[in-house]
Amino acid sequence: MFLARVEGSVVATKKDASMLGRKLLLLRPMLVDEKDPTRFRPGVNTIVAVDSVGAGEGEMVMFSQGSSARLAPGLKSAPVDAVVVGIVDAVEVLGRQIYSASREAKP
Amino acid sequence: MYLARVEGTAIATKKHPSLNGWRLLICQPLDAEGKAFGAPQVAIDPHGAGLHQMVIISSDGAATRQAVRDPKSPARWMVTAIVDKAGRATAAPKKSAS
Amino acid sequence: MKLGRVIGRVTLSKTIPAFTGGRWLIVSPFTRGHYQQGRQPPSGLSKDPSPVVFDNLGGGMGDTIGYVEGREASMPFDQPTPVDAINAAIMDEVFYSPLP
Repeated sequence: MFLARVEGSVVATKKDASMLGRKLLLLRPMLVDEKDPTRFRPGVNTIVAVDSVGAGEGEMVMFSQGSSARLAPGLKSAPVDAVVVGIVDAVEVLGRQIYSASREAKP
Repeated sequence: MYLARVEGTAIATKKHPSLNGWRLLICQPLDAEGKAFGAPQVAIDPHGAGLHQMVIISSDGAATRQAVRDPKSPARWMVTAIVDKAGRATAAPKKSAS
Repeated sequence: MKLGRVIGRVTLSKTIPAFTGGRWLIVSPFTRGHYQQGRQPPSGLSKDPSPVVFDNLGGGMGDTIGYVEGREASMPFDQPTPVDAINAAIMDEVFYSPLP
């Protein structure tokens, strides 16, 4: 699993029937910066993932990839390889909290 | 599968129960020239490979689950052969100047 | 499985039902260089991206663990569970001796 920022969503009318009604999110992977482990660095790729938790734009999420993605609820026969399986509450690295959803909460 | 060199062993008491009793070998993938590439993989070993022996390791989880006799095992990499000889039969082609 | 060092934890506010109560560790993968550093715990984080792995063995900060990636990571569960990386073993000792 990796962490990612939801940067947007994808609308696709013509698609595999197994994907009807599923929201497709644009994810930017967020990797712990090996040069400065108090921060994330964005990954190079942008990944399209099926949403399984109702994540919104701007949120930090956790996603699963590969054939394991099809084990998420309702995706057994869907041709998917990435699914958002969690909304991140907090991330702690080397003793420091480097992300907290509540600290980011908009007023 | 990868050609690999056995470079060590790992000992773990807390592990998935399907791994109980299994040797965990640290295997370094090698290219056709015997040069290391990538990071070592830790594989279970049913063949009794020794330190520094060359082996073949496979990532076919289904075969590994059969070997450990547990359909719910997360084990993936396994030593499937001990190598007698591996490498090029002829010298590597010289890169042509052009 | 690959070896790596536990460098952090992730907690989730909302998940699919299968993940309720799950523990998630951030792991920095060992490169070949890390293996060769000897008794010292590897210094510095590897350049390889640090995955988040599912943990039900009780791994903690600083532990060296063997983690499995891919479909195999989802095998240990009774219900279909979309895990693509799982802690399979917490290392007590790692003996490493490359050919000179």
